[in-house]
Amino acid sequence: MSLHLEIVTPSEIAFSGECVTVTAPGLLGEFGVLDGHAQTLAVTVAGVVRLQTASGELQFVVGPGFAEVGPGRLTLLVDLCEPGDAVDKAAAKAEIAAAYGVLKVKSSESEEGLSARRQVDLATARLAV
Amino acid sequence: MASLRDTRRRITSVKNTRQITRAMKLVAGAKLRRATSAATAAKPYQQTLVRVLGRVVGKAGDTQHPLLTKPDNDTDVVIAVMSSDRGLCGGFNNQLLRKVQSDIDAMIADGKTVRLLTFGKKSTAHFSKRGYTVEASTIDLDPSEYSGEAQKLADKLMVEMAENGFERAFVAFNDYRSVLSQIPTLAQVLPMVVDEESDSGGGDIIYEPDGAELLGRLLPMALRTQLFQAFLETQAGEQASRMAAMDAATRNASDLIDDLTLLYNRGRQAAITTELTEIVSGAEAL
Repeated sequence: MSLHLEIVTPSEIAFSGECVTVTAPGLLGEFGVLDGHAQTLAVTVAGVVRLQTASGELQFVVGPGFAEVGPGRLTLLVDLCEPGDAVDKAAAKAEIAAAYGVLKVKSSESEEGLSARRQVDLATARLAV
Repeated sequence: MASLRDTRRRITSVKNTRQITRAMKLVAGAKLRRATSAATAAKPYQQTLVRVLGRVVGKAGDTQHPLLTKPDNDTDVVIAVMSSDRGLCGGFNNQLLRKVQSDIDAMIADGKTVRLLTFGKKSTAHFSKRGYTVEASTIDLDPSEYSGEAQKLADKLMVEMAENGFERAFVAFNDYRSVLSQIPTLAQVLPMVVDEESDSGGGDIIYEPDGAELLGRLLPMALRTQLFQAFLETQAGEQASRMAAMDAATRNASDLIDDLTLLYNRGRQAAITTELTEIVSGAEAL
């Protein structure tokens, strides 16, 4: 039995295919989904999505969003999705440093603060691949 | 009457114009294809989000969320106006700006203070020339920047809303229906309007996390998506409008060239006839 996974971003359908298991970064911790999972609506945070497919394991870095589990399918609606093997770790480290620089001078509730916090989350996810 | 040489010169000039309008039409066509495919690609995301949000709000019942309730402010209204940077796109900007302006005037007559955030040179110029307060303007946006810009705008509006900075916020854009139809739209973005979906009988769904927390995550996403969609529709509408306008211009140029060519030939024939008559009558006189 397999699970149909779709990773949808505002600009494209980043992945669509059959998997055996999917692990997604939930707000309350990582969770795994197999076929036959109960219907769920879960908020996800920036992190790494791991999927076991018939042909091997795949990883994607995703932005925040949510996961909708239905019968035999899982839809991940996320800000952004990039393949795990295309990550530039040095750039991610630099982004974290830059974002922390902003957060030192700006309130984390301001516009700049919000975007810096998102940047940190995303860059941390990139480093976790 | 214009001399033959003048007519010939005009024909050449109209031909040049036709070449330009034809090129612009082709360019707009290519951009339109890209813009509509971007708008289509964004649809699945938006539709799923709206569906899920409707269900969550329906289920949450009377759970209140700050983004759904009116802020403690009765006077200020924020309108984000999305127009194009360039002209030569038919009535695209005018139809939108005319509608927005009449809506603004109605709000001002109603005692509201309207603050404008403009996107695109055309709306910036239109409103600042007419003495409206343009609080911020963003110009020369590339389609690759829409997503980031939508996020920035969403953040700005949410931060302001938390500080009771306005009563309502709107986005004004041309809703792209088809190549021939773009409808000027003024849509309220904050406080958010959600179509509640009553329980569709889909069985028990596990919500993780529950209630307000889930709404708190979904609503900002929905806001950003709505703004992003407005950017995409504006871009598609602009290109569609420009393509139609340039197509009409090319056709008009062709008609004008036909008329002028006829005029030119008639003039040339008249000159030949006059010359012949002169020669013949000269020979007869001998």
